[in-house]
Amino acid sequence: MTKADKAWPPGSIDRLVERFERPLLAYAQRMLGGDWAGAQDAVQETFLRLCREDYRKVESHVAAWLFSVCRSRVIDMQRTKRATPVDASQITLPDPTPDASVVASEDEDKVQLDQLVHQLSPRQQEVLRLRLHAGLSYREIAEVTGLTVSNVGFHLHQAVRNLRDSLAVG
Amino acid sequence: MSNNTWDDPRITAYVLDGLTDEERTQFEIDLKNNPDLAAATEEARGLTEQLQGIYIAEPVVPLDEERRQEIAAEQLAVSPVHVESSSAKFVWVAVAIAACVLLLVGVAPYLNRDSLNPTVTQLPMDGVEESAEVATTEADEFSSANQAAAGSSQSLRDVASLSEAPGEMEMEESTVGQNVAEGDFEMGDFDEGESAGAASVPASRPPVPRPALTPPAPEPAETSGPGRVRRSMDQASSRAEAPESEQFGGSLQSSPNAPLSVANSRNVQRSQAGEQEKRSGRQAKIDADNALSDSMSKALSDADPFSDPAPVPVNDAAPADTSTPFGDSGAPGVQSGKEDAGFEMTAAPGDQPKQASAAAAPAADAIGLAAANARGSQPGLRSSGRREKKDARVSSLELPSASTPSSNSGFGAAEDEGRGPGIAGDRFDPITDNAFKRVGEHPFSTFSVDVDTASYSKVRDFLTRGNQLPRPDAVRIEELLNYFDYDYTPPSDDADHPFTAHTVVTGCPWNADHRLARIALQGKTMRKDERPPCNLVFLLDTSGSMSAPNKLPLVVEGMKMLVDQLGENDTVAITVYAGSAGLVLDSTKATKQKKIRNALTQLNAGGSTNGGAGIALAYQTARDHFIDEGVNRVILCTDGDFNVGTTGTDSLVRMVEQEAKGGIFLSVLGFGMGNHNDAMLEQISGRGNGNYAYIDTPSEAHKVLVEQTSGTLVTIAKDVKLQIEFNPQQVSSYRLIGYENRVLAKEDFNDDKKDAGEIGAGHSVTALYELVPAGVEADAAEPLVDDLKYQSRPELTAAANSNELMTLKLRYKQPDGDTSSLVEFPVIDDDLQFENSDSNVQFAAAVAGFGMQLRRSEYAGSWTLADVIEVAQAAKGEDLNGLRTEFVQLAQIASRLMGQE
Repeated sequence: MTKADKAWPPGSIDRLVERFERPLLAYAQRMLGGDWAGAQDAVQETFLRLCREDYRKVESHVAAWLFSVCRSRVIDMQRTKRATPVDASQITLPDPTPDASVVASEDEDKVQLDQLVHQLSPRQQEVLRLRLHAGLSYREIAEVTGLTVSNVGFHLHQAVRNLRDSLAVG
Repeated sequence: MSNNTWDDPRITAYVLDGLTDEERTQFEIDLKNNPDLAAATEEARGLTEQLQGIYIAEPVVPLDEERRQEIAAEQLAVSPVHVESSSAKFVWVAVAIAACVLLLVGVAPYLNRDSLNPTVTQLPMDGVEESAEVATTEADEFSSANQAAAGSSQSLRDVASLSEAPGEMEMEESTVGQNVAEGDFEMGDFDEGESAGAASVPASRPPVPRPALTPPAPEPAETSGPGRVRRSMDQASSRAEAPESEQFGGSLQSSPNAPLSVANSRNVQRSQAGEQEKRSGRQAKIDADNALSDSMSKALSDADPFSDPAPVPVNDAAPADTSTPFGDSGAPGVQSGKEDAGFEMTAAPGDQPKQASAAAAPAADAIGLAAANARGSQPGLRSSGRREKKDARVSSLELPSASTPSSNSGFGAAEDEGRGPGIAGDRFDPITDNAFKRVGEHPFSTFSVDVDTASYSKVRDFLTRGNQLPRPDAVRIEELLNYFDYDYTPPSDDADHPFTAHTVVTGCPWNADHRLARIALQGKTMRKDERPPCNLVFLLDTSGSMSAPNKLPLVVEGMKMLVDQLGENDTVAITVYAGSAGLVLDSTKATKQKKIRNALTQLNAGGSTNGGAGIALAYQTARDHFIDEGVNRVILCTDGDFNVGTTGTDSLVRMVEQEAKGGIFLSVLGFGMGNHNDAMLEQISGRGNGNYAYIDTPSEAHKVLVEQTSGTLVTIAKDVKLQIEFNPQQVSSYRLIGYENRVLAKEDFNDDKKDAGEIGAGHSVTALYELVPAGVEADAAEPLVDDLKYQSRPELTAAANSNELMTLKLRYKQPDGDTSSLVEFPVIDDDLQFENSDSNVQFAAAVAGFGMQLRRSEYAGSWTLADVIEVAQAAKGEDLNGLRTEFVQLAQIASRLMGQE
């Protein structure tokens, strides 16, 4: 067996980065309480590890693999919460004020739903995001979170139900 | 509906596709029998779709370019492209690991014996003497790397304290030490197969616990045995080709990290350090091997054109870095100690490779860091310690070229042109800049006009909202040029042709030897009351992906603006497409504002996109209400995410083309970022005899739909083609700036069956040519072709000796016509200087320059964004609508992002 067999076919990593970059970043950022720089670190590290991973071991469940690795990176990071020296002038931050068009056409329902999502339990938020944003299957979510498949289903249903109930009340 | 219905978890599972096949079948039966359940399911579906929209619309800062490059570099390092050498390398790593394991068996106990106290975590070892020894010998580092690899935190701690004699830093060390162990343990895991297979190589060799006592060079051979040296030499020679050595460099990238993170005595984040260590652990083995063989580093330095800095990072055996400065200075200020050591070593003559290799890495780091700092404004550079190092390394390798204008140093830059820091999912066709062509070989330059402006809005969106540079392929220079109004005189009402042509030749501001020719067409303007009756069908994408605030709400707003501009003769219909296509509003008089507005307001995003069916429905609606003497147009508003249904680009394009022949034109308004399928939208609007605008803000909607209503709706000439014949007596070569995907074959010019661009009422078209005057050879032209053997060059005609620079020929068709008319204008160069030309020409040049900078074009000449800003600022003129001021701001943002300030 040579190392070449393990390597990723050219371009495949790029496609995976394209495909999963945003869901992973959003996922990590959410778990890190909005720390986008931390999320970037975690996601970058996840992809770096992916490059080094034997692709035959990963390819069949790459989505779950990515989210599992990202998740453990994030948990590691949370465990050792510390201040990294960062030169503020070196960071590009998105302008926090919304674009004029955003302000102009903010959709009220959306805002409300958005807020309600944030009131869900972290676990519910996590599974919802993995299902709806990252497009992972129940089985994959189970793999990532360590829950059973039926447990995933339960959390998802609770999340949707809670949202629905809150919307009905509101 | 009762809440009990909602107790059924299958509702969610059904909507989210979490049921098995049997369960789903059963559930569908239940659905039919239980309307409550069906309603709940629908509700859940709506809810999840909305959620999906929210997630998709979430602002996410994408991975910045440096991170992407690092991932790309990692791929290269692991990639099988150079199979032989890389597998050789990996086998080598494996051998090293195997050696590590074996060494450990011998070394660890020894060290424990040696280090008076086996649990020395907190105790400095017996001294500077020891650490000095460690410092001067790689072999010892090698063994420390070995211990690390084997995952013995015990011995590792020993070594850590060995090499870090001064007491202040023990806390950090012990943590890091553990991490080293951990990290490398994973590493060992990863390479298990190989190490087992290769273990036999060093098996017979006894451990060399104290090579420190014999510092000089030969000892690596002793450590590794003859077989190893030969192999590493093989490796060295196989890396003699440049790309290989680059790859090699890439794989070494993290080796300086570990020592630095220790040296900086930061509270290194545990996991991060672990990771670094893990990587550097691997590197260390490679490095140690490399260091073992001087011949190897020699070979590398021979192979590499940048022979000074290049071998430097190659030789840095990871732990060596840390120990060296300690041994030398013993000062707590490790960082500065390192730097000092580094600089000393750089100054030292190269004939001490042994010594140099220990200190060379810090040197590279110091220099690299200095370079990185000098470049300063790299965004996100400092977001983690690791990034910093990586970049430092890149610049240290690139020292000779560190001052190139492209701030994206690093190997990935060149091959990354098409990707850039975009939002994943946006699709753009690649663009290759038009090259200089010799007039002798290519006397004609032919292209189709393009009045689209989408690319400019797109670029603006990238720069202002995304705060990042657009991908080079997202920048179409002609669309940037055409975004602006240059005050060309429109034709008078009784003119023969629906547009006027304006040509100016001036100096080329970015290349003093060249000339710049501006060719402009101005379409006739049309007042609101002159406009023929319009039959408009809005085709709105209401799929889930459109729910972002800068998409559907903006569409609705834009449509309302447009409807305000319409008169009593105009009709509006609204069709939508999502999971299925539907007619929201059948053709309605535009005067029934309230009805139309209500229909627009009720639109909701949800479901997936079936663009194909939607377009078919829209065309059907347009045909049903066809106005013979009027404008019949489908206006497609979408983010271009056509993901369901019969949507091969080709079949869509065929449909659109067919309908255009039938008199129904298509305009495309693109919205939103994220999965914007720019390539397809541009193509179908072009084929549909329509225009394509990208709407990023309400003010852009206003510009396109209110100020330019007539242009957007009324086509005054179609299939407009330009052909320029250059006079070889005046021009030696030429280059069309932009219009890359609009270039036509010279035969197409007279072929009326060939589709080309349309000009709407009031639209103008601006094209720039960079001309190389006769007698001057373009630097960048294609190589010369030999003269023909059997034919002579064509004779010059009498006209060639006139003072004409070129002839501009135009072909166009009336909007309802099938045959084209031809117009010709000779163009003369009046030797105008750029400084003296009118401000519109100067501004156009600035816009083109901006485009070339963003595209990182090789033809950008001497200009930088600073020149763009200066010229644009000076040529702003009155700028009533503020667009030129905005342009200057964009150029400033770009300049900052590119680090050109």
